[in-house]
Amino acid sequence: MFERGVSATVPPVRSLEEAFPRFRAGDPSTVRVLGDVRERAHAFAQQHVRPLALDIDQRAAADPRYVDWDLVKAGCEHGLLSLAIPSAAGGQGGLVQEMCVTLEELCAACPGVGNIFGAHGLGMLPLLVTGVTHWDGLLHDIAVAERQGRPVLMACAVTEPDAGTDVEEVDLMRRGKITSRAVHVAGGWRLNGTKRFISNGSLADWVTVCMPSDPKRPAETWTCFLVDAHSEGFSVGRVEHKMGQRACPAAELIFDDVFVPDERVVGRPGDGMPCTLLVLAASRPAVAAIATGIARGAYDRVLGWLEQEPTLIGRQQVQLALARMEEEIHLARQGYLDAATEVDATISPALHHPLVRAMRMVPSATRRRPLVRRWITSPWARQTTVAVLRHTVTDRAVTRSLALSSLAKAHAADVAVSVTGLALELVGLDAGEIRAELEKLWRDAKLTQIYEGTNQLNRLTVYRGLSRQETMVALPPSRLRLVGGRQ
Amino acid sequence: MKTDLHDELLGVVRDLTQREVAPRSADLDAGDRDAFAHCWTAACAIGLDRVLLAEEFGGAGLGPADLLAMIEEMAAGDAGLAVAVLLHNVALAALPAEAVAAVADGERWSVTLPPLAPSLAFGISKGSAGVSGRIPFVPGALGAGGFAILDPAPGSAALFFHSTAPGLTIQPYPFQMGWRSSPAAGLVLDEVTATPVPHSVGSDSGATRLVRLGVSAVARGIAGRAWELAFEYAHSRHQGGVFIIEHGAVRSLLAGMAVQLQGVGPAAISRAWLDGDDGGAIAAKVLASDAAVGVTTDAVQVFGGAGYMCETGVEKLMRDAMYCRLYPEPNWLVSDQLVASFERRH
Repeated sequence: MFERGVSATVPPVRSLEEAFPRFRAGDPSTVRVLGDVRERAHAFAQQHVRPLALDIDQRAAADPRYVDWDLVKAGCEHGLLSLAIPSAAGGQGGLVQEMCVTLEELCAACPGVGNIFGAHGLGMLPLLVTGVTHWDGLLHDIAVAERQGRPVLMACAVTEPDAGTDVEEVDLMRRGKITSRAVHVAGGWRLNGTKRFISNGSLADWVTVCMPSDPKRPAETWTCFLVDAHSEGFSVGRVEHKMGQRACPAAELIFDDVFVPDERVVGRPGDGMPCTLLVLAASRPAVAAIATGIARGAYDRVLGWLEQEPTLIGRQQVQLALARMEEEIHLARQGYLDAATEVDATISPALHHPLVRAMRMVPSATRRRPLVRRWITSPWARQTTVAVLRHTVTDRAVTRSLALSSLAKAHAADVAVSVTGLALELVGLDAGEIRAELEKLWRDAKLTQIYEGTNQLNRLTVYRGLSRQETMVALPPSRLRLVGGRQ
Repeated sequence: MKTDLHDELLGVVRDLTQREVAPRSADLDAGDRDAFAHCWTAACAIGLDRVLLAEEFGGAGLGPADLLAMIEEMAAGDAGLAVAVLLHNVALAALPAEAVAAVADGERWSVTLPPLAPSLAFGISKGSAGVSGRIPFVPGALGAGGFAILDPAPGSAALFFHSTAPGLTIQPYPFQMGWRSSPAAGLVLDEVTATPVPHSVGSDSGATRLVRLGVSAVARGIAGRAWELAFEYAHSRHQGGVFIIEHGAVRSLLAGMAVQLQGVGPAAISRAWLDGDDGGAIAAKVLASDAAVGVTTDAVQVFGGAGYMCETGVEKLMRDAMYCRLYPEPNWLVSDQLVASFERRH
């Protein structure tokens, strides 16, 4: 019953100025105007995504492998796959704030579609936090392919059938049951195991996957690898029938003796767990933004619908409910912007370290030459990257960022579930298509309480990082010491 | 009141639910009409279609409290089916004797309630040529043999008509997230010849109260099932080297669910019935449906990622629970009626 096509009109962005004050990133020389990013994402989301959202949901309900590639390609035209790729590698150089603002807009239209781009960003995050110059080649390829209208997607595979929460928290991991395993062989690694519920898993060309090299000491040997999805031994298993966010398939990934060369170890072997904390600090504000977007999508829809229902909107019960929704959404948004700003400020000094700046001055084409590449991916260069991180960022700063991100995520997810439920209740069962849209958003919302760590786990992280002021080991150890380090 | 007979009857319904309904839960959710027909026939075979009718009409001659308890048992298997059984029984109880006698074995009826808020009135008007207007969202309307309209206007008699009545158009909804085995439809009446029921069966006889309390029972059945599944899963899933029931976070979720369930126990529902008050029935429905949404949402949380996947069957409970919050009217809408009912008391 829905026309597949592009809607001609884009509804205006509500209260742009109030909602998005200009946030200053950690680097005082860079003022990022998030309003522009948001308006671009808003236009794409409302023109291309929203008109198709229900249709895609229905198709994916019948066939969970269904993906609207045309929409992903349309996303390419709007630079959604290269948003977080550094400008030196041909991307747009966005940080966590830009990613978040974009995701709020996409998810206000369709959280499943938003999650395709979100999960792609998550797949890239381990590369971005462990030294972007090492991954120049791939990141550059993604950006070039995007300009050619050819989406190259990434995914991040961490969860296992027997280990969900366990792989998100170091103490649980030590006691947990991790069944995947990476074994070092001549020239690289052999990966074996199964990863589960992997967003984009069945779509991705490249997967960042974490596995331990010693199952008895998973936390100490947790290592991140970059896997080519076309590798021998890699296959996609079951694609799940989900309650919501169906536009983005969640798949089982099977690693059967997959060979990964040494240069595709992300960071250093055994650095996976600290790397995970840094990734979570950056990815949880994004989930908070997804949740905020879902709540706002429901709010916008119910508000639009109520304008046609004067007898309802005139009632104080309805007005109070709307005010409550506005209140919750506002606070959720402030929460993710606050966390994203903090994460960006935490990692910015590393991005602006003289060594990193010097690397950026080397032309991208030169960096991709085999000899230079060999040097860039050498163990020495990796040690230097870790040393730069250690020199500019502290464990405490990452722990604090992670806690703020977790706070924003857990809060926004609860807001998404309650606001979408309230919106659905306001329109009732006889509201036609708007009811179907709100039911979908309510189903979509529930996942935000679960992925990127359950809300319970996120709140325990808030306790450790903020209530107890704990400092987690959130950065890999460095054997090199740069002059004037902060730790 | 609990009696041996009551327990025995519930045992029969529980057995039916476990044997016939629960294994077909996913098919029912997928809208499989054969699965529904199978379950409906099985329910009729044990007399669940005539619970309130006197024995001379082939009924079981049981009271509303028995029906509510049975509905709760059925809802643990499939909420949509339980709603169909509820509305059918209320419809039959509203019909005059000769109309009941004409209902064929295995035929299913549904019932529509008067709207709570005048602004949302479905506005049926009675003219000399018949009844006209539109009635929104009647669960189980697709495939129903006929409909009873309770209190179409204040003080007026109930009406009934067959689904084949000339002038009746049944408009299905393209989407339905919950109670999917009972596809709902809007009824558009264009001078439909409807037979009035000589007595008012609305508030006076408790039919509307029975529907709301029935929805409470459905909500409780859903929540109870969600609790069982979550409790069981918490004792079988390992994280951090122990069963997740050992984690305080999970215990706290389960405890919260238990508290919500306790608050809407069968005692609360039968008390609301015995009070004989519309307000009590409305309050019980709000309480039970809110609890069901809360409990099922937390049950999915206990399951984590697995709970979000359709195969575990927990997310279905969450969707079904939400419809208890929305039917017969959304919970937020009841405030005027609820307060009015208490004003009448004082």
